[in-house]
Amino acid sequence: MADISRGKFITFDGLDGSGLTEQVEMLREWLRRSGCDMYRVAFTAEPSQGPAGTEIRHALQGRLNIGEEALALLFAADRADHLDRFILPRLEAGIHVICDRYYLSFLAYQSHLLPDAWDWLWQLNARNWRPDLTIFLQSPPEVCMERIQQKFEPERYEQIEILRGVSMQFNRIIPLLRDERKEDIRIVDSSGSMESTHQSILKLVAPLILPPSEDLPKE
Amino acid sequence: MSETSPTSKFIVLEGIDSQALQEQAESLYSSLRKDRARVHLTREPSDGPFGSQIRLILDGRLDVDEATLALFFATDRMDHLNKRGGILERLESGEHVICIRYCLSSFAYQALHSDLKWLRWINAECRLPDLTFFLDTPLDATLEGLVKSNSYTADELGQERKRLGKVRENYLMAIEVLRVEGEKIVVVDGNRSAVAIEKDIKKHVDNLMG
Repeated sequence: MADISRGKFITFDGLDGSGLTEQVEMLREWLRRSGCDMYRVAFTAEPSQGPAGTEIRHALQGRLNIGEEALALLFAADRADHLDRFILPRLEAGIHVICDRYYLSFLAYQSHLLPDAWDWLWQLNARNWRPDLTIFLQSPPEVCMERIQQKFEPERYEQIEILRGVSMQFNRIIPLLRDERKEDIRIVDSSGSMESTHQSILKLVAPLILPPSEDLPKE
Repeated sequence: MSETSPTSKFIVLEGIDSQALQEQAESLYSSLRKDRARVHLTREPSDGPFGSQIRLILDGRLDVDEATLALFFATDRMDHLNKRGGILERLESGEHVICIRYCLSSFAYQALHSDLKWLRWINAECRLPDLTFFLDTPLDATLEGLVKSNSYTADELGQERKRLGKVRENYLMAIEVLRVEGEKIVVVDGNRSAVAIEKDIKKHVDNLMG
C-alpha cells in the first residue's frame, strides 16, 4: 500500500548547460514566495556534500586524476550515501526532496563514456530509490555549449562531442526507464527563455508539492 | 582491456587473518625476488584517495552505510587497477603482482550486509586474478593475534568470533561460486607452521609460472 505520508522525490536531469541549477533555484524561490512551508521541502544535488561527492567534484574540476570506471563507481557510492543520509530519511519524515541531478544523468553520461559497460551501469543503478517524478530539461547540445562557454572554467565533461553523445543516450534511456521501470519522466524544453521553462516546470511540480487548495501558477 | 604480458601473473592472498596474510605475502615476494623475478607487492584498501576514505570508515572516524562502503571498496579497487603505476600497468610491463585482499574480501566481508549477487555486479569490471590463495587460518589463532593488538571485552571477543566465523563461511561460499566459473582458487590449510604454508604456496606459484 502506498505510504501517503511519505514525501515526494522529484529529480531534475539534463545536459550540462541545459539550465538545471537555474531552474531548481527558480523553483525554490517560487515555492518560498508562494508561502510554501520550506521546512517541508528539501533541496539537494548530486554530486552530494558527502565524502564521495567531494571527490567527484575534484574529479570533475580536473583536480583529481581518476579513470571513468572508478568515477562511475564513485557516483554510485555517492548516490548510496546521499540516499541513506539525506534523501530517504527526509522522504520517510514526509519531507519532499527536490534533487538537481540523479541517476538518469549518470546513466546517460556514463553510457556514452563507457560504451561497452551498459549492463554493468544498469546494475549499478538497479536498486536505487526511484523518483516520483523526473523532469528532463531538453536543450540542443549547441545551445548548452553556448551557456557553458560563459562559465569561468569548463569542467570534465563540458565539450561539444561529449554533449552530443550524451544527448543521444538521454534519448535512448528515457523510453527505456519509462517502459522497464514505469518511471514518470517529463521532458521540458529548456532551449527557450528561463521564464517559460520555469512555468512549464511549475505546472508539473506544484501539484505534487503544494496542498490541493493552492492555486496553480497563472500564465 | 589491453593484453597483459603472458608471463606476468596476478596473485591474490585472502583470509580472515590479516597478520598471516602479510607474513605469507612478504615471504612469497622475497622468494620470487630471489628467483630474479620482477614482482610488486600491494594490498587493498590501496594507498589511493579511496583507500584512505575506507580506512577512515573502518576506524570509525567517518560514518557511511554498508552499501556505500561496499561501493567505496569497488571504487578503490578499480582505481588500484587502472591508475598510473597500478596493477594493470605493472602486469602489462611484465611485472608479477601480489595483492593482499581483492574482490573475494568484498564477497566475504561486505556479504555480511549485502547480497553476493550485487557485490559481484559492482566488482564485475575487475580483472580476474591468475591465482588466489585463501589462507584458512584457525579462528582461535586469529583471535589470539587480534587480542594482542587490541583490547576486547569478553562480549566483544565473542561477537568478533561470531563475525569472523561468518566471514569464513562467506569466503567458502564465494569460492565455490567462483571456482565453478573457472577461477583458480587454492584453499590453504592455515593450521600449520608459517614455513609449511610458505612452501605450499610457493609450490603452487611455481606451477603457475611454469
